[in-house]
Amino acid sequence: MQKKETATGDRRRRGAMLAWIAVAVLGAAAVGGIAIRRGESINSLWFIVAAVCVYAIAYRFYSHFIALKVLMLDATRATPAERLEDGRDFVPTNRWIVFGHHFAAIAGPGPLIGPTLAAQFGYLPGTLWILVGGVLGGCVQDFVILFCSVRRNGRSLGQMARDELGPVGGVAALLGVMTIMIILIAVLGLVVVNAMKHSPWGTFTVTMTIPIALFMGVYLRAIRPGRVLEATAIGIVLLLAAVAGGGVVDQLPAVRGWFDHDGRVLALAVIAYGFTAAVLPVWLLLAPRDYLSTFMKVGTILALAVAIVILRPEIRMPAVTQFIDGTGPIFAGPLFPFVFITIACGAISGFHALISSGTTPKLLANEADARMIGYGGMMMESFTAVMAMIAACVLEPGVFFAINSPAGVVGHEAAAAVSTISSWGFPVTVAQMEVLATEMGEATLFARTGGAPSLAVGMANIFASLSGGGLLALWYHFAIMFEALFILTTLDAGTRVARFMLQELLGRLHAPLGRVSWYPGVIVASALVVIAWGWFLYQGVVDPLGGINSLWPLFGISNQMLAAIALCVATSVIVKSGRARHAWVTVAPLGWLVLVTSSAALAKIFSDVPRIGFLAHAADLKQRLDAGTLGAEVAAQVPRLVFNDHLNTALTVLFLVLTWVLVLDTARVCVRHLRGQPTPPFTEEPYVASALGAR
Amino acid sequence: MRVGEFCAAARAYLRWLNGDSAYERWVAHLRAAHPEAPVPSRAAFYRAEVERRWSGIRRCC
Repeated sequence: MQKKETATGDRRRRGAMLAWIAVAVLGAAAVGGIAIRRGESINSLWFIVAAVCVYAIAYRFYSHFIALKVLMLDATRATPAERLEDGRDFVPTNRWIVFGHHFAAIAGPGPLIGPTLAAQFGYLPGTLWILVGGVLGGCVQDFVILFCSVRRNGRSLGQMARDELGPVGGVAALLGVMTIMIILIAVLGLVVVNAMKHSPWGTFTVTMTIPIALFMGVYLRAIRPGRVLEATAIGIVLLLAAVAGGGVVDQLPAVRGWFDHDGRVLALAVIAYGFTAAVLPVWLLLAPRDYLSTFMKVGTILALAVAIVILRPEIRMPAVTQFIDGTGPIFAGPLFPFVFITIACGAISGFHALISSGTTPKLLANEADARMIGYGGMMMESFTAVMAMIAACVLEPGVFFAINSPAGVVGHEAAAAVSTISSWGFPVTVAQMEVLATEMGEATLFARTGGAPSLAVGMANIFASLSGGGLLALWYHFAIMFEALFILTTLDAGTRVARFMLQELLGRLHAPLGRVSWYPGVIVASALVVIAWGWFLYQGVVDPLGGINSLWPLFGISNQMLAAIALCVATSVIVKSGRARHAWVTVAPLGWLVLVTSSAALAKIFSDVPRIGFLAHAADLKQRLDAGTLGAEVAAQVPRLVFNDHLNTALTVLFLVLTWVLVLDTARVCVRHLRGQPTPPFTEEPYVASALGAR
Repeated sequence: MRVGEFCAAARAYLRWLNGDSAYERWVAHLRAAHPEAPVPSRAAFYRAEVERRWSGIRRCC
C-alpha cells in the first residue's frame, strides 16, 4: 500500500520535472530566437513566450530558494496584520487582494515610459535587461524588503535603514527619497507637457480630468459618502465622454484655441495645478483622482496584454541599432550603462521598496504570502514593461524616431527631420508622418518627445486593429488620457509626500512649520516642493536638446540609487540573521547597481561629449556663445542653461556620494557583525505563533 | 448562477481594492474588538479615513 503511494508520488515528481524541463527548453528557444534572429521581422508572441517562461522558472525555483533558504519564511508565524490588527491599516487580508493592491501601488507610468525610450537601442538590450534585471534584481528587492518589513511590524525603509545600519543610513534614505521624488515629478510632468503640446484634443481631455475628480470628491463627501465604487463608475463614464468630447472640441475653431498651447504655457499650468492640488484637501482632488487612475491603469494594462496575445503584431524595430555607441537621438549615452538606468521600473526600481515597506506589509495574513506578493507582484510589473517594449517596437522605426527625437537633434523642419532620420537607415517620409498625425487627430507628431505619444500611437494601432481598424484618433487620445491620469496622480501624491518630509525637516528648525495642519506651514512647504520640481520641469521644456536627455538619466540614477539603499538594508538583515553565505542573493544585484549608477553618474559628470556630460554641455554652450554661433533666442537662455548644467552635476554628485556612503556603511556593519563586534541591534520582532492557521 | 457568482466576487474584489468596503471592515473590527465603542457613521469614517490614507507614500512611479 505504502509502496504504491511512493510510486505515485515518484511518477508525479517525474512528471513535474519533465514539465519544467519543457518550460525551460521553450523559454530558452524563445529568448534565443529573440536574440539571434536578424534581418527579418519577428513576431511579438516570441517576447510573450520568452517572458512567461523566464518568469515561471524564476518564480518556481529562484523565489522558492529565497523563501526557503535565505529568508526562511515561516507560515506559522503571526504577521503584524494579525498581531496589531486595527481594522484600518493592519488587516489580515486575502493574498489575491493584497496582490492586486500591491500591483496597483507599484505600477505607474515608469515601466511604460522607460522601455519606450530604451527602444532606441533596438528591442534586444532593453528586453533582456527587463527579464534578467526583473527576476534577479527587482523581484528579489521587493520580496526581501517586504519580508524585512513584515518581520518589523511594517516599518518603512527609512526606519529600517536607521535601525539596521545606523543614523548615516537613515539620513541617506530620507535624502534619497526626497530628491528622487522631486526629479520623478519633474520628468513625469515633462512627459505630460510634451503629450499636450499643441494638442487641443489631448489638453482638453487631460484638463477635464480635474473637474471630473472634483465632482467625484464632492459626491463622495456630501452626496453619497464613502461609496467609492459608485463614484468611480460615474467618473470612468465621464472620462470616456471627455475623450470623445476632445474630438468635438478639436473641430470647433472657436474653442480649439483655448486648449492649443506651447510647452512653456503648459509647464506653468502643470506647476500651478501641482501647487493647487497640494494645498487643497485630499478628499476633493487627490483621493478621487487616485480611485480613477487605479482602475484605468489596471484595466488598460490588462486590455493591452489581451490585445497583444490576440493580435501578435510583428516587431519592426531591429534587434540592435547603431545607437548603442552613444549617439542616440532620444537620449545620449552608450548601451552600458545607459540602458540599465533608462529602464529602472520594470527591471529594478528602488521606489518599490517604499511600497513594500509601506501599506503592503500591514495587510499580509500569512508571512508565506510575501513570496507571491513581493516577487510575483514585481514579475507582473516587469511583464508590463515587456508589453511597453512591444508597443514601441511594432511602430516603423522611422516613425518611432520621428516622434521621439527632439527638434534640437534632428532639425526643426519636417523635411530636415525626415532626411536626418532616413539617413540613419530608418526611412520615413513627411507624407507618412502627416497621414499618421491626421489619423491620430493631432496637428503633428514630429518631436513629441517623452515616450507618451509614441506609446499612445503603438497602443492605438493595437487597440484599433482589435476594433476593426477604425477609431484610431479616439484610441490615441484614450491612451494619452490614461497615461496623463496616473502621471498627474503621481504628481499630486508625490508633491504631498515630499511636503510632509520637508515639513518634518523644517519642523526641527521652527516647530509650527512641522505641524501638518498649520496652514501657513502647508503653503510654505508645498510652495518649496513645487518650486523645486517646477524648476526642473521648466528647464526640461526650454532645453534645446529636449529635457528627457538630461532629466530621464537623473531619474534613473536616483531610482537605482534608492534600490541600492534598499538592497543595502536587505543585505545587512540577511547577514545579521546569520545567513551570510546566502547574502549573494542581494549582493549580486547591489554590486551591479553600484557599478551601473556609478558609471552613469561619472559619464553624466565628466564625459566630454556635450550631449552626455553636463559640464561639457555647459562649456560647449559658453564656447558657442563667445563664438557667436548661437541664435538670439538660445543665446539669451545661456546663463540659465549653464546654471542648470551645474545644478544637475551637483545632484549627480549627491547621488553618487549617497550611494557610496551607504554601501561602505553596509560593508562596515556586515564586517563588524561577522567579526563579532557590536553593530546596531537586529530589530526583528520575536516569534508569535499565528492563530489564523498555517496553510 | 456561475456568472452571478463571478460578478459578485469581482465586485467584492474591486470594493476591497479601492476602499469601498473599508467602512464595513472597520465596523466589524469595532464590534469584535471594542463592543462598547460607538460606531461612527459611514460619512464620518470616510472623512477621517481619506485624510489619513493619503498622508504617506501610496503610489509608485
